[in-house]
Amino acid sequence: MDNSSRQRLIARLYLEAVLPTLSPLIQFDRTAKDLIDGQHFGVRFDAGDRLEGRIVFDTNSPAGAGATTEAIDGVPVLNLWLPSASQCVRLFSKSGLALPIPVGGWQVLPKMTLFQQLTDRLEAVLQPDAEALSDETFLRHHVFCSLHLAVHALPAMLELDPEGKSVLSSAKKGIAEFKYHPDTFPSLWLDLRSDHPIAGTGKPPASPLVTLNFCNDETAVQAMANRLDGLAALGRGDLVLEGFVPLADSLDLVMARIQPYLKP
Amino acid sequence: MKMDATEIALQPPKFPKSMELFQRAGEIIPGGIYGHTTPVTTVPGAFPYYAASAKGGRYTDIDGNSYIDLMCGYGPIVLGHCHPEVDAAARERQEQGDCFNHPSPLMVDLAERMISLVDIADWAVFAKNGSDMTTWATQVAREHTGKRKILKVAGAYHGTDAWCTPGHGGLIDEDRAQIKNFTWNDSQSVVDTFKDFKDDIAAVIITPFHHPAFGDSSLPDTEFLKTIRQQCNIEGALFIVDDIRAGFRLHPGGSHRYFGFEPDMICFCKAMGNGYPISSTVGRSEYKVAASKVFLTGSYWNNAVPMAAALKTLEIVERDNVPAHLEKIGQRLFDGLSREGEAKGTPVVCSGPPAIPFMSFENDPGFHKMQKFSALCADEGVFFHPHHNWFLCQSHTEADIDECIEVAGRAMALLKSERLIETIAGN
Repeated sequence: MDNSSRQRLIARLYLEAVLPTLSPLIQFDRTAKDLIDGQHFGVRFDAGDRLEGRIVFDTNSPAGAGATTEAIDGVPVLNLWLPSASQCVRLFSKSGLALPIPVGGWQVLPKMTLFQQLTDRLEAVLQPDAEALSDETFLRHHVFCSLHLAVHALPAMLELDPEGKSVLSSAKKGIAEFKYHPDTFPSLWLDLRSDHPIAGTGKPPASPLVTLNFCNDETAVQAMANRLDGLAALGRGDLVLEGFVPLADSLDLVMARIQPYLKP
Repeated sequence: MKMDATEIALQPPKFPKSMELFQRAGEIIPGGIYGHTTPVTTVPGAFPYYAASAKGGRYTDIDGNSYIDLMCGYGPIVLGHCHPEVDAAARERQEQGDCFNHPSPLMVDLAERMISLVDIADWAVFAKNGSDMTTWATQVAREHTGKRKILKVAGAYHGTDAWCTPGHGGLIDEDRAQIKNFTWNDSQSVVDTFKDFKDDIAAVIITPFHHPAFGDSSLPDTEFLKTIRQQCNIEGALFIVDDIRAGFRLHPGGSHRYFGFEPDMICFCKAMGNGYPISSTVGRSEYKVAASKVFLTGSYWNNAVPMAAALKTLEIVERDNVPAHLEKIGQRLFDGLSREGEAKGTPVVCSGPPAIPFMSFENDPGFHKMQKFSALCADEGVFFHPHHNWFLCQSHTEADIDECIEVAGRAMALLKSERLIETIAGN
């Protein structure tokens, strides 16, 4: 994989997976919710060549989600242009010089400090220390945000990562659904029915080909940290797979490859 | 009186000992149970995890539940569990010793037996597992041809070695750099792949019929087999048959006789020892020198007991024409399952040769129906695997098959009930 392709993949991971994970963070994490309470603004990143990502905060929206990747009428959005995928990666990974150029929505600029605080909070939730995980509520938010990020990272991984491309070329067409405390958190899904995989949150658009359900917190935490003996967990019933197991197996392989891109 | 859906859902766990043992196993054995017998390959919680005993065509788990065994140890049990003649031959040999500094005379007897049974065989070697032989056979092809590439069917299973394992872990790109895939039953794909790697192809390896997990089995087209043979002849490549799974179940002389084609080397395992650990490769005389140059051995590969068992098993397979029995009861099973599927409004797809049957449901791409069906049948004492082809044995009677069909019919009727589907899904 050449460096240009690698930078493009990492940029997509930040724009399509990390950035949208601010949405469940605000929905479920009290600290994040308090930070953004009463705010109405959005930020859109454009690194050219179809590398785009947007998050819009509207905590008073009827949907109540607090943040969305869709545009909302009347909510101002800061448009930031980045000259390349590499600049995008540097900006999100805070590694080296990045020069995002505001090209619209100037009135949102003062909110960027708040945006930074939110992303710091996301980082704390995604990469917690052991002490933080002793709090059950926090642990569950950590797991769901991690799973949200991983599932939303899959389209980019399947289209650009070498192993992901191999999986995509042979994967059965269908939907994979991921569940964790379904009474609290929405389903996450990956739709492989068209040429381009799509990730989503909520009810899958059709019956899933395979469903993976994390049945307890410990199993889910270990899975998110790539420390789970999956076969043993499935045998015990701590993980439940229904349907076309090979698809879940292949996606697990691809998910395990996400972290090195985001934490080199 | 049979249970309705609600009663099934409220049943106490049937496998407390299995689950307790698996809890211990999960702490100290990676995966708890690994490989093809992992609970993950069936429906975890709906099938037993550990076996206690078996006799003929049935087995009992450690919780005391008994099953008509339609997997037969995933293939090795071709005559029946604890077959008296085979076990007597093995026991007699055991009393004289098993593992020596030398092979026993049985090694020569067994090689002669293999050569007499298999028409293309001029020599034979022995090992323990299928992977031992498929990997070694590809090495012999490379030694003979001086070429590198091995062509195989995409999605085919040839064992657990790095060049062919369906697993993901521990592999590097170089493991499969010389392995190229073509499409099952697609003659043009064969021709194209030979063209792409012309002058560097050592062998083609195929199973005699395609039996992917999580998929229907597929019998070979005559044209497809003919094309492989022709292309191998043109290229000077060897045609290897991986008859590990099907060997001696379709024809006493090997599956190529059943389907009518002529390979250069054949790898056998599973059925040849009726459960005793032994595998074999046989080949044409022109490859014997190359075979002699490719090192093969293992700590237990010369053991006498499995060879005694294999000699007796092969004798019975030929004497009793076991493949004909398997074909007959397999067809009875196919007919019965199709009939029940139609009658209960859950039409099925029967695939593979009748002797190595498989069934799935129409419009069930995720195998959800199949998983519920097999769980229901297991609950009534019939082991239908939800995702892997099934195996029959000589000990299975027509009455056993009819019992399987009856249980399957009841499961299909329940499957049709929305209430059951909701109940299972709700769990």
